[in-house]
Amino acid sequence: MWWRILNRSFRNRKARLVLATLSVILGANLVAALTSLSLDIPRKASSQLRSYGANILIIPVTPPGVDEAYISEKDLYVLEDGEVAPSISSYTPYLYRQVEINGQRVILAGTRLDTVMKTSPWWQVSGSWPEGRGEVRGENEALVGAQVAEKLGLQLDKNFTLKSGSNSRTFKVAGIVTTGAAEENQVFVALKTAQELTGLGGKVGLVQVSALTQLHPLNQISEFIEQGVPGTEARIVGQIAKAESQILSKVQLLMALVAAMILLASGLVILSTMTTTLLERTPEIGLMKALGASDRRIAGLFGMEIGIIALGGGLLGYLLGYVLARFIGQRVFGSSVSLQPVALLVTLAVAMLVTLGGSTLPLRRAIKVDPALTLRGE
Amino acid sequence: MLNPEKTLEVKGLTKYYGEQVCALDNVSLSVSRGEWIAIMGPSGSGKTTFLNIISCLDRPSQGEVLVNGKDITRLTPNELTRFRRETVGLVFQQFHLIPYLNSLENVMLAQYFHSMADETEARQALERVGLGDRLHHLPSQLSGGEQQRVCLARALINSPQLLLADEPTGNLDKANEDMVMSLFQERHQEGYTVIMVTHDPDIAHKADRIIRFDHGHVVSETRNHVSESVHA
Amino acid sequence: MTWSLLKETLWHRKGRVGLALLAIVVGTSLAMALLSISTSTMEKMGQELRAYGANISVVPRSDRVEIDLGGAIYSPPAGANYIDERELIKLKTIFWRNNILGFAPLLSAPVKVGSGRQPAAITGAWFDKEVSLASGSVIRTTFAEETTIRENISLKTGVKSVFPWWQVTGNWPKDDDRDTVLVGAALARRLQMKVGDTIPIEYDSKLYNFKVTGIVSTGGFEDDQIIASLPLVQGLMGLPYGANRVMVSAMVQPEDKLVPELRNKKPEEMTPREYEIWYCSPILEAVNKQIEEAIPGSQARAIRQIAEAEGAFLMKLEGLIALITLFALVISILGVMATLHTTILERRSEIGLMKALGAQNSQIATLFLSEAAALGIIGGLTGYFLGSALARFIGERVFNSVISPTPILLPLALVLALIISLVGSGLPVWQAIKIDPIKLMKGR
Repeated sequence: MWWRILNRSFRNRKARLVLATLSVILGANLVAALTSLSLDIPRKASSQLRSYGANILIIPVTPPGVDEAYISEKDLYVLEDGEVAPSISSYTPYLYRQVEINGQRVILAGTRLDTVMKTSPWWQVSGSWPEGRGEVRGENEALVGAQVAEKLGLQLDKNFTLKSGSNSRTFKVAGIVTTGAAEENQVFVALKTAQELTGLGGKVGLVQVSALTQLHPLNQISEFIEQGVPGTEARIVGQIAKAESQILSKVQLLMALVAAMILLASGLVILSTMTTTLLERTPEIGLMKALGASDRRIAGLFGMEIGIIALGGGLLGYLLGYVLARFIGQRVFGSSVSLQPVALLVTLAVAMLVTLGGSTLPLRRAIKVDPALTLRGE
Repeated sequence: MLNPEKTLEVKGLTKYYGEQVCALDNVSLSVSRGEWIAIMGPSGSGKTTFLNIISCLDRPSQGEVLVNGKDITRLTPNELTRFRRETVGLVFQQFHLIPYLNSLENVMLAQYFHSMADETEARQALERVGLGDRLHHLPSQLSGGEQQRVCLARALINSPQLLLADEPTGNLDKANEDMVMSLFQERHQEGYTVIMVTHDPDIAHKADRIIRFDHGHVVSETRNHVSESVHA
Repeated sequence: MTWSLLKETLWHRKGRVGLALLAIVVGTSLAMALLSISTSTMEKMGQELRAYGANISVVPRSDRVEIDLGGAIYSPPAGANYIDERELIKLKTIFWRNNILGFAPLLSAPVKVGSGRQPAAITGAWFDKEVSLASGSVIRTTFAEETTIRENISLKTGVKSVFPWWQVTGNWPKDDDRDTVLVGAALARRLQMKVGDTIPIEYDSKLYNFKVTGIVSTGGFEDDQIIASLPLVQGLMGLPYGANRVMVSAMVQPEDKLVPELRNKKPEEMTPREYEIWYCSPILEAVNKQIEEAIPGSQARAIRQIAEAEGAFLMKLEGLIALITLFALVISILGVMATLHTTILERRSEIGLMKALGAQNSQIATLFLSEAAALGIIGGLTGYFLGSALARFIGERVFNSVISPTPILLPLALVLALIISLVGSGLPVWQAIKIDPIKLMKGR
């Protein structure tokens, strides 16, 4: 019978129910979307902030009495295979050497040009940057910093000669690099080429690392690296690391507060709708009381109805909200937000809590209503 | 039995609303089992208040109300509710039905709150008031008279000690009124105790006794005919 | 008549009217708060992003290539030009002077340090120097206008504002100290230097002994350098007031904020009118131009690492907030309308009664709509203030600064609230009016 009552209530009171459920759905929708987003945004923001560049520098420790120390290139594979690998977004090794071009002293940098664009995405390269950003094609191509190009009169696709010690080599200008910083005063070639030129096979002078902090904090990652790559110091770049954590915490706080605000708003809207629909059923409640229904019974019936609305609306709202969150994630970050069971739980909990909680007071008041009054007047 | 059992005994019933309004003033009366009482009086005379109190919907300010020997003024709200559903059947002037339940379900609702819903019994109850072919209609699909008959069936389904009606035919046309009143008469003959508030003298004269209220007092009691009390 | 009827209706049904009002207020305040937040987040975040430090580097025009390894100069080009540090205050006279948050001149030279005469670099800089623009100086107020200022404008700027992540154990040297230095953390470790030690430094074959007042740790190349006051290094190199680079921290907006027609144009190719627009846009290129105009012989370049990342981040953030705001608005407005709809539904019997009493449809509609309008206005006003308060609260919590309410939002709030109220209530009223009064009064 109880089931029948519920069934009939739902079937025959369509308009009101639809509206009540609608407001629950909409509210739950927002909550779901926001929860998913605010759980995921910090991760996405953090990846986004990697575009500021390396937050860890691996520098060889110079033992006393030694002029120049180097890192073994093969030791760097721990960054790709080791325990610390999932936290490494990208890394780029460099080998620097003073060389001479047209009688002027210039810094030569050997590097892996396929990774440099990941670690330093702000490089602006004009010219025939090797297609696909792979290794500089051929061993005789170089990327020239804008200042060097301007001051030494080096032009795209033209050749120039480089002297290192007693070695001499001709290169073609494959591209000109603009960064507004030190790179503009340097000349870049493939790491192998620089190593050959300088007789430092298999060695690099420093490594720029772009690390993600979702799994481990930076100082832990730094320790892992120092353990994995012998003879090195893994320095946390204060400029990048500090600012990043500052910004991230602000973004998180902002999202959290906005989410809380929207949550509150959704809750209030759900509450007022449920209260209204409940208030209009006071005559019904009065009748049931006159028929001798106990308060508990009536509360149970209505409570169950409200509960079903809350649950159904909450689920639908969650699905909608998930679609919404995915869309926003795609639009803004180009990658979608993943399905979060936490968001589902939160959404349902909020929907239930607000709907039931919000209906408690009016339900209680309605039940206390004097049946004689409601039956008399209307 | 020589001494008919008193289904209802009211002693010194008084009801105030606030400080000024005295709806009932020291009312005492009694109703025997199987009697049909008509309560009459101008509006504001307290007859509705009286009915509310004996139907366990309201509480008196002073006095005793004994239904089947039990003083309902001493019951807690929960006990009162229970008492109400077990002892009293109500029929109102405005036919109060749950708009989204059909006739059958509206009757079953009363069963549901009492003990258990029983579709067969409910159907029989509706058949007895001539609505066997209207079982699955919603109130909005029923005429006034039909709705009132559903209310009557509902009021009777739990075999109440007291059948209380407040102007049950007030909203009905003559034809329906006759139908409903004949149903009441049938019930009365079956042995139900009926207390009915009415302003219609014709209806009142169908009762065993007419009690008149005015300004919160009982001003007269009239016997209509010596009834052959049906004690089965 | 309508007015008193309206008042009576609203008053007697306080409870339900209260609920409807609540719904409108909630919807409007949310809208207002979100709009305030979304319009000011870009600017506030932009300010926060200055924590990453300088986004503009100013160098003297020269035709020599610098040997520059992340700020450590290994050999100064002979006959190089320098920037005069006394000119730098002019950065506060340019059109975008209020966007220049700070600047720090640097002068670097290669030295040999420690008993082992290890090669390293020394960099002189302003730490937190007070500089003033004397009254009577000329500042650029609009593209074509200038005024003279009446009072001194002074500010403190230097490495502490432009590189806020530097950490010093011990004490910073004063900006005029000529015998104290900071030693980079890695260098100090190698040389086993502590605060209070004396460090021998050789430059140009001359030996100096400086006192170490602090160890500086940045995680960058400074950790391998000696950092001193600018006068100290200028003294070493015999270059009074000279600097070979100035790092500037400026508040700018992403290039995308520029009007589309001007985005890919070079300033030389613009018409005078276009040039003026470009010049007066708060973008990096315009600021660079103004810096070069103010400091003779200088070349201002964007530090792409900072500038690009900042732009990209801000655009994404703005996109995120905009989308969230949009959806939240749409959904909450729908929700509020649903609430209003339900409040009207339960008054259908009232409408039926009115019709039965002979009221015309237009009269009924007027009554209900004026009620909705009244609620809309009250709700809109309340929502505006509540929403602004919310935005201010969030602004203070997140950015420690005030998001002040934009006056234009007030009429917007009213309009929004009225639309919600009239549409939300209007629809069901319009539907109900068409139904047979008996049905309305009878059933649900």
